[in-house]
Amino acid sequence: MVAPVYALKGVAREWRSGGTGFRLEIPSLTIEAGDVLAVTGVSGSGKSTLLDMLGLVLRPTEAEVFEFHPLGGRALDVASLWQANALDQFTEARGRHIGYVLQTGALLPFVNVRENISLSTALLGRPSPGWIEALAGRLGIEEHLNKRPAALSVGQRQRVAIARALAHRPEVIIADEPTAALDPETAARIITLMLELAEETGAAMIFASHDWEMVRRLGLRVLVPEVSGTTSVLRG
Amino acid sequence: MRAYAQIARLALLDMIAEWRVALCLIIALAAGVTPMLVLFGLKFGLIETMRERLLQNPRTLEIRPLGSGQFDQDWFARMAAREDVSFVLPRTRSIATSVILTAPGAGRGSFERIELVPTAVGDPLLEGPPPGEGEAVLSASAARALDLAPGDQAAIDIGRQRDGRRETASAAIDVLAILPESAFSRPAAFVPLSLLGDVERFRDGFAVAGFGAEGETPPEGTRSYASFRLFARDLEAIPVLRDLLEAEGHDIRTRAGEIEGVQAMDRNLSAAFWLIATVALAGLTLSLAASLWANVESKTGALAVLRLIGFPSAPLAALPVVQALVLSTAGMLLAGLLYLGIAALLNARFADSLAEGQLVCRLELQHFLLGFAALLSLGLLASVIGGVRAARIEPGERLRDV
Repeated sequence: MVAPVYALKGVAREWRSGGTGFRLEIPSLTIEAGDVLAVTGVSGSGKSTLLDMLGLVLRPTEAEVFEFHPLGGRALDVASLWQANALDQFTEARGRHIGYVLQTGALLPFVNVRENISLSTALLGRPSPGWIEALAGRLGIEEHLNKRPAALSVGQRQRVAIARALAHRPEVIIADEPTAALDPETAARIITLMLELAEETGAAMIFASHDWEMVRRLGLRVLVPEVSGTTSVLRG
Repeated sequence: MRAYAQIARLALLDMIAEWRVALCLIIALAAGVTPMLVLFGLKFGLIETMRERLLQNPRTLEIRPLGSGQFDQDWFARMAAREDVSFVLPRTRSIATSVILTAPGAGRGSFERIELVPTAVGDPLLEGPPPGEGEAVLSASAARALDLAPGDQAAIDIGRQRDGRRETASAAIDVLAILPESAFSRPAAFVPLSLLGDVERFRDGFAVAGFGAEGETPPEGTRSYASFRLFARDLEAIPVLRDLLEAEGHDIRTRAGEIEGVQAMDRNLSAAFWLIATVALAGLTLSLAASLWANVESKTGALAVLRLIGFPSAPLAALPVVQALVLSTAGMLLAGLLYLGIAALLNARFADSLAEGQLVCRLELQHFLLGFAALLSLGLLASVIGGVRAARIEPGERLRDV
């Protein structure tokens, strides 16, 4: 039996600012290799908080169990590594195993599209120009490879960000409202494309979306945080 | 290593993409550094020119007695033993130093009244070996007057009145070398001390075997001399020797005043330079640190993205450092070029009042390297602060603002 990619138990994150606070609780969540998981719900229900914790960029305030076990990589006891403040171990794990797509592209403005997409493979010393061309082709941005991000539309930039997240063939793809800035048709097309690519590469994919309709149409496993007052509970 | 190489590449690409910002920083750096280079160049150039003017002339280190005194062998031995004396030699009374120089080849009536100067090994005014018996090194004006060149034959004629009769003696000399004009301006022949001793005894009416001259037998015993030739080891030794000789009751002349003037000027200019440099450096440091800090701040988004993609913190911290190094290098190069232009203008402007090879504004390679090292350290210091900030960027921080 293969260990799940993510195993979370009793994980919580609290935000406090001034008099108000917010708390996201995840009593239990397991994500297997190749799983596709949509997190949906209203703004402020903790979708980004969950994704950032899964992406190893946000420190949980409580964690009974938080394990990350990428296929072909060593298991990370995320809970204790956060306690040890071993940020560079998370950085390394992200570089090898996780592809993160943000709401807005978050592309480097000073290098061209090809360079942006190749950042992770260049860092790992595994240049794969053929794969990057193919990815760009699948995402319909192959004619923009030599342009700077500023020359692209918002939708094109978002597709570049997706290509960048997939370029190093990560085991996990995390996408935070990757299509929020796009029109519904393009959004659906891009999500479908992401799902196809995730399936082809065998990656698990966790994405946040407030578009309940689209998620339902795609027939995916859906997580909906239950919000009551300033606490949001996410049951896996 | 791969991550560092990638970061260095990205740092350069970033600067190329934002070349206007980079150019502004480079110009700001050069604007701070250039005046300092010019200022230091002027200070160094002026002082060095003055020092060289003094030192180019070997007579700068000479201490000359005024009038005549009594200096015995003990005194000469004592002075020769001193560390700060590079050359000391007895000199006869002035009565014995004035002779006539003739050249056999020259036409009749071609003669020149010259001064005999004793010399020996180590004479700072001579460039080659000292003349031996029957040889002389001529000053430029003496050689010119009789059209003599090294290797020529010449003679010195000495006259005296003895018992109411006029007698002359003559000594043949080979011209060994000619001194440059700057070493000794008056017509003179540098000869071994023994010849001067003979001339002095001849003039005093004694018998001198070397000249075939008859007369009284010279007195036996150690003799003393009326004067001396003395050179200090270096500029710093001159005031010491001056004080010593004056304390012994001798009237002397030195160039100590000029030397002390240059040294005082060097001190004062140095103090002024460092005062201005300190103020300017403080300003430059602050503006450099602020610019580089702002540079890092504007990169926070990009750094957070790189963090997300998996770049570790140490290479990330290197990004502003690489940029600071490139900016400092470019700023120094620009400042160096500007300096060279300004220095050329200044030197052309002052060329009339300077001798060949002298510059009013100049720096040596080591000064540029020193300035470069200082600027690099400043840039590094300022950027390391920014780099630490870059390394501390929480991966989640600002990600969503990019």
